[in-house]
Amino acid sequence: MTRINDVPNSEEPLYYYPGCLSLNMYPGIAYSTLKVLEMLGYKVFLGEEICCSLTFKNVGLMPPETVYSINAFIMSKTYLKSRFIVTSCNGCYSNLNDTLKKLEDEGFRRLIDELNMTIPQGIKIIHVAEVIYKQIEEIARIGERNLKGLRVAVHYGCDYTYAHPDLVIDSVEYPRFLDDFIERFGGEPIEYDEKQTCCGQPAIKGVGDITMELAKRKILSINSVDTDILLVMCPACLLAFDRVQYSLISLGEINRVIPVIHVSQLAGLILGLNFKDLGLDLHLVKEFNRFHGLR
Amino acid sequence: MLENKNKKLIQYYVLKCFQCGVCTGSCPVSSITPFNPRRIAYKIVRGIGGIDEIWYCLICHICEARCPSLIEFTKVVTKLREESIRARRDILNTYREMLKQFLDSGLVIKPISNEVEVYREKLKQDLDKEGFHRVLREIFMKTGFQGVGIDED
Repeated sequence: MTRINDVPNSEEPLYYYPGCLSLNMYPGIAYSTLKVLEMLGYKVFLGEEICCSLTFKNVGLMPPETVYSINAFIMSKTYLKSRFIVTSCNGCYSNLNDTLKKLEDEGFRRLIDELNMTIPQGIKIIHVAEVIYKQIEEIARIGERNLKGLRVAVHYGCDYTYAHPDLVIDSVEYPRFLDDFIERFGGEPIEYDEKQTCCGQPAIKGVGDITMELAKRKILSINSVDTDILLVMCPACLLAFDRVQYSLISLGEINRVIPVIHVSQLAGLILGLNFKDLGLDLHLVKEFNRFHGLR
Repeated sequence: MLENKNKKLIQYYVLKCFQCGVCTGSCPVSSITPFNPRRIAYKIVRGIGGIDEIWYCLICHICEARCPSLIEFTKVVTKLREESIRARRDILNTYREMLKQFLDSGLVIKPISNEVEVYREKLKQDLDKEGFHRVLREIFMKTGFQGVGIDED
């Protein structure tokens, strides 16, 4: 848990880099993240709308050096503003951290110099879930709602846990920090068999429907243990579970859906943001009735 | 299938593999597709071609996190994909649409609905397009990316 010390306290300015999905698919995630960070006392700079290009690297369309250079450009935008880039997406978090490691390579460093990019010394890439976990007591102090009576299944996501095992603030194979977060606010974290498996969203488009197969396996597992809500920390995972459940219920393959929520939206809910601001009505699975009773 | 330089590099990545199979046992897609990282490592070391299963990999990094030889298997997969994406027009066509969107707007997806577009007003950020395109051009030139497939057809 040593890296939790790297997560900045509220006197530090932050540069929030939202990424494509948090902006254009589920903008409630970007808005909640911004609001939650501000409510916790951080001065936040909203990052420019430039994709981290992880998809292009993964599919083999762009050489890794091209993608890392694009990320270095994103990092250079923080110059004179902040030493911390906060992301709400596991993919951006992983890709930016890959770039940070690549910057230790002398050849790549030279390339960045040639491109006239200045990257702040000691820059760190932080996931908003880590900030929320670090500020758990502050959220409890200023929060307006709790999670009493809510049964919550957590999905952490591979690009946070397995992509950078050395950076995870918790156990890589058995992380619990978001389960602890649920417990702190009176909710009940639920264990399920497929907790550590992938959501399937990063599958190459058009090569079978791998996303459907994998997300379905997880949804059936979560469905079997009576869950009210599924908590994720990545908009891509949210997309997989949201879309696949929408398909499965339409096809009659499941008889109930579990609403999916991002950790920023959940923190926003506790802090008193209204449903409209959280953007919950933009999800495909909208059964958020269980939230209405929360005090 | 592979250019000589890359072939050597990819072989170097997997040389430490001793075929324990932890990767395949951990892999979320190996149980539902022909993808088998252990077998792919074997084929690479032995120089056996025809590795079309690489397209099933999710780049989820589970195999890497558990590999006792610390092999960075996702690097192997992305390198192999770089080598062969030109031969997969179906995949190339899907992703070059995203690439076009990225070059045009900075993001790979547009707002998915009117509701999203209305909501997005709260987060409006103006991208300096000219500056962005200038930097991209320079990055592409210096890293040897020629916009594969974008200007073809």
